[in-house]
Amino acid sequence: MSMRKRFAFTLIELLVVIAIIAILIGLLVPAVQKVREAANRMSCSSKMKQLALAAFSYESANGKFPPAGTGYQLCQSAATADSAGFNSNGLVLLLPYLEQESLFKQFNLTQASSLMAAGMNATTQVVGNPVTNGNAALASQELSILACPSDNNPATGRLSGSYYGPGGSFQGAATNYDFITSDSDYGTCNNWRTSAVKRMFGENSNTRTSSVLDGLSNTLMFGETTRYHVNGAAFAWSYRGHVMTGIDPGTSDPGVNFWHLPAVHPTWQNPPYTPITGRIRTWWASAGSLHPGGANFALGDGSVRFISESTAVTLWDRMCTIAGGEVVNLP
Amino acid sequence: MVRLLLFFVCLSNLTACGNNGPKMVPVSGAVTIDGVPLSFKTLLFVPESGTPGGGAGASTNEKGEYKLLASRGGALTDFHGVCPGKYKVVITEPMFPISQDMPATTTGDTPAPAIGLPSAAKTKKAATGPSIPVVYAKRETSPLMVTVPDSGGAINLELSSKLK
Repeated sequence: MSMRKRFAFTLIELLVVIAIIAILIGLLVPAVQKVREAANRMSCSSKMKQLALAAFSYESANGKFPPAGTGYQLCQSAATADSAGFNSNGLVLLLPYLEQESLFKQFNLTQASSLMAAGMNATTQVVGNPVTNGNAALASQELSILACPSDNNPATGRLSGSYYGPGGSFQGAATNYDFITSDSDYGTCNNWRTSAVKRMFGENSNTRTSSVLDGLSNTLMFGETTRYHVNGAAFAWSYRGHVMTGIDPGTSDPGVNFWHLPAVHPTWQNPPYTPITGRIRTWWASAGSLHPGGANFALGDGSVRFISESTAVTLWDRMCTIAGGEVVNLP
Repeated sequence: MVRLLLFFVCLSNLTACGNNGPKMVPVSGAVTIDGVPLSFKTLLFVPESGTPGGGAGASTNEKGEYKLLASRGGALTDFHGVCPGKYKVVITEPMFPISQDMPATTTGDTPAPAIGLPSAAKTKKAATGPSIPVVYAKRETSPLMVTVPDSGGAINLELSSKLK
């Protein structure tokens, strides 16, 4: 009996050891998760920085920044619409500067990137056939340079069909980064060219560094979004489709991380709608990320900042415009 | 880096309204056009310079009544309220018709029909209400400027069809 007592653990001893281990794990797990998210966010912002540098390389080579896209069929007003429909995405033009030269060469840029069979205006007629010229087939490639590791939504699966897909039975892959544009690009064709208040990018935009009168370090250039939009699908990297106008954190959905915007419609209130973190639900053109508390933005000077979701609307507005003439104190 | 971020978080909270900042106050009221209730429209309260927060919006019901819901980044619940301050009010047609027998939306596993899609308005009773002069639908042109007092309360909006 005494021998046994010497060599065995009592129940209390075991429980104490288990409790200590549990406490240690309890301390460790959140710490590890925080470090992982911090690493993801860093990787995410460095990718955005590369994108901003690519835009600058493009600007050096061409004398102007790339457009957010050309020849939109997604816009509504036929009067100002382009007759030639390309539905192209300016991110494709940046591929050579992101070490994706070989992929870039496969694109047929003289023809449309997406069929957009359900175009919003009747004036714009698609140039060529993306299904046969190969552009639609390229759309489903997942580019790691355009993927934020914090976003656990899959890059493919939602960008298909006549509104959101590139054409035929092909599907697109989503990007986490897109140009800062105006959400009016949806309602008004060639909004960038016709509107007095400009963002850095838009349909057929050709911004130069000299036209950013508010100062490049006060103006947003690229924004972050998630790969899941409940109203719409997501943003494709290789083409433009329905409600894929780019990112506008300054107009009708001012701010970031809107998983829930109950003011839009009674059916958007909770209940009946159950919002999910990471699934953006706004009118369209919204920024967001799965980093807690905000999202990354690249400014016109090439710097990347994490901007808090509690930033006031009036400030978002000022950061978006290129020549608003306002004073901006970045958060 | 972390300390710097914390500093920014603290700083933004000082100026923020809502989550941890100054209190949001409830606002409700009625919207009329030439004295007739402006039913089934979407309201947007856009903060003017100096007003904190993310703004708010609402839908009007059959009687033209509304109750403001705050726009809050990161939020997962409804919140009836708005930060006190000056606002420009924009009134537009709803994203898709507001109706009592609207099917309840899910968490959105499939791409939802976005604004303008024909399938977006699959309702039996698509109530639209009176039409809105285009001047009220744009932030640049809307003449509706309101001040939300520190105590909130009722803000009635009167529109005129004479404005174009």
